Amino acid sequence: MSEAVKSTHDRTESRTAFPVLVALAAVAGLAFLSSLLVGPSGIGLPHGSRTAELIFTEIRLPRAILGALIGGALGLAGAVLQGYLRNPLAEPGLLGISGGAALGAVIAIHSGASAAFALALPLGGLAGAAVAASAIMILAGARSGPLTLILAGVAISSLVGALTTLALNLSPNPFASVEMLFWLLGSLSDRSLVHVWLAAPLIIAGSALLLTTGRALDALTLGDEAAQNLGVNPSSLRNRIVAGTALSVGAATAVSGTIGFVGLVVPHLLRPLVGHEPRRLLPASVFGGAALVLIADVALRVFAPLSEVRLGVVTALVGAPFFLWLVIKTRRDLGP
Amino acid sequence: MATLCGLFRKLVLGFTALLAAGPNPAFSAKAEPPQRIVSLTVCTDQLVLDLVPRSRIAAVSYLATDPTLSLKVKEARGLKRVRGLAEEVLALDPDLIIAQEYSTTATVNLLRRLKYRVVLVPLATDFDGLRRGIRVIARAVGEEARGDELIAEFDERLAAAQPKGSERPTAVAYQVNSLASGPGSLVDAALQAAGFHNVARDRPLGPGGRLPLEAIVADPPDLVILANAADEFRSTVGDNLRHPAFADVIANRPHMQIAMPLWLCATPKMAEAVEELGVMRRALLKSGATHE
Amino acid sequence: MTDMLQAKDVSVRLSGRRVLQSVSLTVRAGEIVAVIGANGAGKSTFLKVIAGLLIPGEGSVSLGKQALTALEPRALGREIAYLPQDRTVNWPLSVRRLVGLGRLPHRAPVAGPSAADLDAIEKAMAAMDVLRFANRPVDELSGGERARVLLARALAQQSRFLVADEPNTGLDPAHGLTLFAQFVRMAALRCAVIVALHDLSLAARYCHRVLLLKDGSALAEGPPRFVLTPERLAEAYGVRATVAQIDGWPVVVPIEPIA
Repeated sequence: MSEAVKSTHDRTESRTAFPVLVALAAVAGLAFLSSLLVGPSGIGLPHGSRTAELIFTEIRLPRAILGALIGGALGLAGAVLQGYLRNPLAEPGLLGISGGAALGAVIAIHSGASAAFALALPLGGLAGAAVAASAIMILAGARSGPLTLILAGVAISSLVGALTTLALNLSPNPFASVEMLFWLLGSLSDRSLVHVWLAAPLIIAGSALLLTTGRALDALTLGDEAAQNLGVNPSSLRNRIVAGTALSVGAATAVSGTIGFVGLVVPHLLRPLVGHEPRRLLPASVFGGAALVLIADVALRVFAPLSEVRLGVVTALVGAPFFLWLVIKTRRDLGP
Repeated sequence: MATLCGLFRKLVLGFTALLAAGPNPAFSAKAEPPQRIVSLTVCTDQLVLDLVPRSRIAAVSYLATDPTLSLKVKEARGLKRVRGLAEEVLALDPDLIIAQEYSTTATVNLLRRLKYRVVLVPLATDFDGLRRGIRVIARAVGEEARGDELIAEFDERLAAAQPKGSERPTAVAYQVNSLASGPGSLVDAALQAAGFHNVARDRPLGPGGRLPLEAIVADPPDLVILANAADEFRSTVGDNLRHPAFADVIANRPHMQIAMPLWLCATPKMAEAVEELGVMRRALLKSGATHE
Repeated sequence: MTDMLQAKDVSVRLSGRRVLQSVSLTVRAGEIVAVIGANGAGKSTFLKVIAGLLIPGEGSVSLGKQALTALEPRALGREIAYLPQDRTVNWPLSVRRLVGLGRLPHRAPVAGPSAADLDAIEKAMAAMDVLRFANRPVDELSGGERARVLLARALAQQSRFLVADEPNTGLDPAHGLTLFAQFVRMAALRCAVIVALHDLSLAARYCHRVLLLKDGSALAEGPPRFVLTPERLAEAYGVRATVAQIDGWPVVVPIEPIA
């Protein structure tokens, strides 16, 4: 085959990949800008007074940055887990790490620490995530593959879920219960730059780790053995995935509560756009996840500014119709 | 289990108090009392409305005009109402923000970080706590004299409502979700002050303060007090109040309804609840329909 | 020299069961070696061991003078390509991308495919006659076409040794023959191929040597005409078979199971 034709082929493939990534990045960028323009004090960039500057730099900017970081982390972790488990229905919560972060935060509220000490809540969440990650590594064992890891993750999830419910049940007073419940539903409101400094390094470090798994995930397309033959080190891969998820999703949940469906829906939707290749799905899912969370956050501020609709609820409202559509599409594909 | 939790909480609180930085804003001496006060919760709304003239209130919470929760609906009308987000509050340029413990922690932290003065009122579990709450707010808004006045009025009314005689008819304050207020709640303090014996004290209440319906039906107290009307909540939380057995207890025995706003918040208006209870007690004793 | 892949006295226990017992095999560059035996005789396990994917409980495998365990996974992947029996492809990648996975052991960590990579991919696809599907998603192909794509992936690795587990299953007769023609070409280029097979005629016709396994042990090893005798086949498979010559090519015909 001539040089010209074969290099055109490969260039055609990467030519379809690049625009998709650029388009997603553009959407995420637009969503980020919109997030800066929306808030209770009015639509548009706050300017003029010191208060307006304060609103922009200390309230809207952290909110937008966190939305992008958290959405990106969740999308990426979802794509990695779906690639690792070779299952398009996997999502970051399967490893039990976000559940651990939620439990840590709920304990911080329950014990009154979050009332006494401003950072107690996110730090509690981080501690919870770390404990859950260690637990899953210990439980799964040194030689575990994807299946054992998931079983361990489900065990940890169930345990922390039960403990969280227990903490809610034994709440010291109704106000604390409400605070716990609302926190669990996920929110970005009134997060400050402190939350950004706390979460950003961890999210970035964790995401960097996760991005290194791209090639291994591609190799796993052919199964565990062929992947090993292609150079995948199974325990290194598993460790990177658990550590990366613990850092990124753990920090994200610690700061914003549980925001569901992003890690499930985003990779699933974007997969056909990247030729189903696991590695190419990773950066796409970062932008896609960031875009989804930012758009949801803008939507709830525009359409329901004065109600208590939580971000996690909005993403769940996106998730449910997505699954309906998936069922309908699958039925149609399978024929009458 | 409950005491373990309580101990754990105390340990954590003590430890975190060590780590908590920053001066206590409540004690900073200000030359001029605050002129643009924002209150973020319905309970603090009512106390602020009691203590300062409307001109000094920049905003109250959006629940201040909800009649099922607030006693100051009329007074709050016309004032700016906020949801409680930092951006809303900032836009009002307040010089004092008052909120309650356990509410909107993220907002409070953010406002404090931006160097706004935030005073948190602790949750009151008895009348001393109620008085303390009034003093905290009074000091923060620079109306300590008025605060003392409110407390004095409250104490006067309580003294006037002092029960005569040593009889203590039994009573229970029953809400939706089978919640009965046990010891360590304002309701219990009101019942005690009015000369009743709160049957919730006799039983170990479950978490959240639940008293099983059976306990009430088996051994009905002299007086059943309802905080909610039976048809006020159409969900399962109201089932206990609609239960036929309960309806039976109510139908044939003394019962009364005291509006929720009267004892939701630790305001001086609780004295009214004590007065109403006192009236009921006298009626019960007169008719001889008591346990003793 | 890395011209020799040697398994020495390899024993493997899986789930408490002894699957391989002291099996040895030496494969030199230029050879095509068949591993045959009844179902469950341990062929797949042996192939995994000799490809370095499974560490034997006893015994060792070495590439030249180096033990396989001393090689890190990517280096191993550059020397030995492994084609599993399982044909599952988890994501419907295009054929070209799938074959391109074979270049992963060669590719630098963050770089795109090099000219050498692209060349290897094209050659592999041509060799397995799947060029015309190059841009189609692999789940649209038939079973046999997909088998050829997976083989192309192994070929794209351009490793000296190819270990393939029943590579011709599902291939039509023409493609089965072209597959072995490809192996012969590779052998001529100083590569070596180790295949597990059920088609004994193909083994007889194309392989330099045959390893016959029974219940995890090596029953016989050597050139086909020494191993593929009716007596050995009866013992290994429990089947009465005839070995004949047709047009000069050896043919093994199973007749009936031995009671």
